[in-house]
Amino acid sequence: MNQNHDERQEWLNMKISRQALIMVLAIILVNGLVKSNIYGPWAEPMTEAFIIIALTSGYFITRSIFNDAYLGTKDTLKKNITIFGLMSIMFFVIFFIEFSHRTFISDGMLSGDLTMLLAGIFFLYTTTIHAIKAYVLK
Amino acid sequence: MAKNLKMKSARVIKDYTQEDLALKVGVTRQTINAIEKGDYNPTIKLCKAICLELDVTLNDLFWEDDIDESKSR
Repeated sequence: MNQNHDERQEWLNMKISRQALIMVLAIILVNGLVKSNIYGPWAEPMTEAFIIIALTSGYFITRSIFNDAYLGTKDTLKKNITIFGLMSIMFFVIFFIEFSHRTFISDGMLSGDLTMLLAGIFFLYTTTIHAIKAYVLK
Repeated sequence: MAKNLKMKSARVIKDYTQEDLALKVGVTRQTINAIEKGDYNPTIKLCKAICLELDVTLNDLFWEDDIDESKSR
């Protein structure tokens, strides 16, 4: 959030942030239960952390965009689509550069090599959400 | 919250679109829309900025007559 946001957007973003915080606490709790009582470690630490962050950030961005609270008074959907689109392409390129050497699952856990792919998917998702919003506003 | 039709008519009298008013008071068009629809309760700071821009008083735009009447009964 930057100073471009007006008071309604700041109020809404704060409200959505609280929900995202509760969501991250619930996910961490469920993750802990799964790891200690059900399956054991299911992903390497970086991949696990990234998935938790991506889920809650995805929730925040989606709700914020559809409540007209994400873009500040000086931001444009076009600019964000370009930035997030380029980020997505960059992560996919990094992931596919050494695709043959990468492993998806090792020792029954999601591999750390997946982080770049997950980052690419996350930015592709945010680009898509922005594009949908731009289409809705047309 | 009820729709703020007073604000909408004051804006139309000044021949402003929601976008024009939003730019003048430094908020997004969606915020002006939310205030007019009664979906958002603005702070006194924003109320003042809107009133100054539309050349009206706070009472003209943001005082609800029915509250006034019920108190006087």
